[in-house]
Amino acid sequence: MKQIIKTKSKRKQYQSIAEDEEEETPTEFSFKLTRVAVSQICRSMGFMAAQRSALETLTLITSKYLEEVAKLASSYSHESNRTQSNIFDLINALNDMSSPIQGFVGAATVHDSCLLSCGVLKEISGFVKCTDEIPFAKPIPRNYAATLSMSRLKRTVSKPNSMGLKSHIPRWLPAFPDAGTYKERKEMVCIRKTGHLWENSEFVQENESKYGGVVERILGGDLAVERGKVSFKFGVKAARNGL
Amino acid sequence: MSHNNQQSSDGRHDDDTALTEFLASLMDYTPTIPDELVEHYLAKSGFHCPDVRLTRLVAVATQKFVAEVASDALQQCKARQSAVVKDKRDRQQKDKRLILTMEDLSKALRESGVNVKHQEYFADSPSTGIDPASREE
Repeated sequence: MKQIIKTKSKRKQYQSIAEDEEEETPTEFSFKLTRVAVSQICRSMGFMAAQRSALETLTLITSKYLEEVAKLASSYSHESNRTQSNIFDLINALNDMSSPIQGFVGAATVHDSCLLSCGVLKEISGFVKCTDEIPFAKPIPRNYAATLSMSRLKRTVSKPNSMGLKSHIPRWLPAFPDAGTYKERKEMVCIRKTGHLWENSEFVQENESKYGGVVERILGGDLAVERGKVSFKFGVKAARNGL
Repeated sequence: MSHNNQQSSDGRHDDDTALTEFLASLMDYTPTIPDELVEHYLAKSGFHCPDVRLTRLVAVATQKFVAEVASDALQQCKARQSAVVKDKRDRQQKDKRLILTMEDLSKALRESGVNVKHQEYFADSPSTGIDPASREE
């Protein structure tokens, strides 16, 4: 009886630990999908449950395996000056993945004989024949990312159309910013600079009180007149330095 | 000599047809790892091929790899449990559930050339690290 209670409390502890770890796991979508697939395979092999750490390790190994196969296959295709990989690249990659570790039937003659008759493919076809299909738990929306990027592309393309696209600019280039932003920019910067330079002087404060919001424009206009005073002060310093 | 050549070309032809049939059968087979996921990983590593059959082949190969590792781990788990049962009959009920543990997985992965190392004090369960004698109480 005591033991049962103990196990129950332990289970509770397990659950709380699992929840804690769930928050910490990488939130990458593909990793989670792989975890589901891996746990389905583990279950089909006869496991009733799995430690979270073990499952995550196996998931990580699985994703590494997938990436490694793809990398090897693409490197084989690049070696023969192709961008697209074909079945031979893939078979070579699968051979490389399995040969240094476990070995397979015909591993010694893999590069002498025809690739199509290699042991790896036979093993895989045997695996396909003898295992039942376990479809993935939930269908995945196929073109989710593609539609997203397409809509983003449309948005960027539609902008220059509305502004009036010039014929010499290719369509795929990103849109120009608003004409107002780069045409008025100089003026704005100038005003800002002068405002910054003059912000502590008495002249600005006076004008601010007089004209309110129009201050910046007036500043720009009167700058030539009022600069005399300031340049005189600096000029004196510069002259002293020069002397 | 010519006879040999003919034989090998025949053999090659047979392999070719066998492969074509196998790849065609993959079109009807649904691997546990979905195509979309495999395509994601393939694209991530620079593999580019429009043929769905190759994607399926990668998926099936990966599934085979995972299944082999899992079955190895299962064997480890069963072996450990049978050893425990010999020691003590009482714990049979408790330990009968087949759970994929880090211990079994690391042994299984070592056979496939992956060295999994985790800290000794890594507490997977609250009872890890407690002396078995005190756990019995």
